[in-house]
Amino acid sequence: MSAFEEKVARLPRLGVGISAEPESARTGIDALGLREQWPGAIDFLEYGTDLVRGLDEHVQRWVATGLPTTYHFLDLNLEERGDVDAVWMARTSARARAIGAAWLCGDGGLWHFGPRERGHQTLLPPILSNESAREMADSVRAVEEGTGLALLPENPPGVVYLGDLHILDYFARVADGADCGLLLDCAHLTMFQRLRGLDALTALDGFPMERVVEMHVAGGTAVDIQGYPLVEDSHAPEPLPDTWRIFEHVAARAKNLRAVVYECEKNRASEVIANFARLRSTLA
Amino acid sequence: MQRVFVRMQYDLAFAERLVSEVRRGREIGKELVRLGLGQREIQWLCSLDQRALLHDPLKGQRLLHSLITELRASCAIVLAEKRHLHFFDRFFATQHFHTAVQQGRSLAAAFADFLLAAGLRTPVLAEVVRVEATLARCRRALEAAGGVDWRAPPVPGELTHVTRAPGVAVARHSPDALDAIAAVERHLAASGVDPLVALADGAPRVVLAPPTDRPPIPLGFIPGAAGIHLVELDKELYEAIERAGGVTPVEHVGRPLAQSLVEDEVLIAATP
Repeated sequence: MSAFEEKVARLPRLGVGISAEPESARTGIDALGLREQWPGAIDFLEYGTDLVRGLDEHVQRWVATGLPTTYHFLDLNLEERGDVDAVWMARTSARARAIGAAWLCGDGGLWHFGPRERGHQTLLPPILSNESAREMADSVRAVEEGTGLALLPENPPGVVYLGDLHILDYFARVADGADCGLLLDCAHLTMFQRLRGLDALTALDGFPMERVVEMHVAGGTAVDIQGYPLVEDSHAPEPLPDTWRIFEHVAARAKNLRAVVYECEKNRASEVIANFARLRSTLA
Repeated sequence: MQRVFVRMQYDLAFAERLVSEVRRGREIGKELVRLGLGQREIQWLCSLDQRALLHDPLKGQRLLHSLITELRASCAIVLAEKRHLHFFDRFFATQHFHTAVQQGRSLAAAFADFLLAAGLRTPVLAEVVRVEATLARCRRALEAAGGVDWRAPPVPGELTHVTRAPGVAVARHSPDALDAIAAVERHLAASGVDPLVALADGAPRVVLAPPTDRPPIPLGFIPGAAGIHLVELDKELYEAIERAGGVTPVEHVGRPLAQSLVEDEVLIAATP
């Protein structure tokens, strides 16, 4: 058994989950409310946060029921090895453990520029080059060693992707370099494929499906900027058809898939409940 | 390369200039080479479709909002003089912004430098900016050390050396600056009852006292439960904290005072 197989064998199978961020339950979906109204709709909560905002009462309530979670960071520049510092790892690890997170995950790119500061409100994809993939792999290794938790880097959204690699090839290199699992965001991949004028499934044939431990599905909105076609990562209720295609294609082949998150917490529960059922039936 | 791309996103004129001048082999292309970018990276930057940069036009406003929130007394004084929100937009075209991004420095510090260099007339502005810039610097130092999770290191049996705790600073500032900050806070509290008030012809304006020639007062920037507090210090205390800017022998601070400040977590035990 390879080191990765041993690592992934220790990760629990979480099922279908919903995303949340600090205060998102106040105006969007309360995960416990959703579970109460539609028993069996969700199995776990993926909580996305940064160190400044920390844990909110929503995730604390969820944790109090003993249900599983994952921790999605929103403040680490995985593409910059220098951003992975001991203080961030200690504090993030403490918060992740406080909610019983099964693992860490987060977009592999840049959440801020310069020193870690709140308010940049940016998320830039990495430069799609071999050098950058090597640096990100170093960061992933450092976080896994420093926190003792598995880290799944996620392909991020973008309106521009600089570099000459396909984003799937980039993350395949990261996974190989770090010997880590991956989080494949199907909606973000849809954005990338459309920007490059590619079919939704392009490059999946060379992608290491066995590394996919988690998947994200979310709604996107097609927009036109002076004739430049983009997909916005709007998290609208309905995923685009290409996002479903990617999800169904990968779900059928990812033998180590442990969790699927539908990122829909800012919508009304009635608008998204049918899609939870569709995700579950695909995984069955 | 990412840093150049960030600069392009926030300063569209820079993006346009960069692409056109690289194509003509002008100076800016050489600057990119000096920054360590190879021809391949420069080509990637210059071949991107600039329409993509028009996506999310409020990106700059959101960043400004966080900077204005942090230096809010300074910005209130600027607005009282300039009366145009667009004044702040100029930040993205300045060397302060571009240098900070390129060198990975704090944007709050760069924004403070931008305000200081803007040639505004209100006499107290510069001192207010300096006070708020120090507050911003202290917040970051505390956050980098662990923020609310930071714990003072254990005090050894015999205290030999000390240094300032993260987020602690001292500086002398004009009392006019403190009065101006208080005046802005009073104004914001009064007009904050309803933001719509700002739209009215007779909306209240920030009223600043005329400048005085009072001497600067010694201030401590001290972390507390609600952030960094400004505290007026007596001379002995000020000088003791000032001396402990780096790892300092206890005798240079004065043992009884050093021990007391370590107990209060203003100073911490250190090893040389």
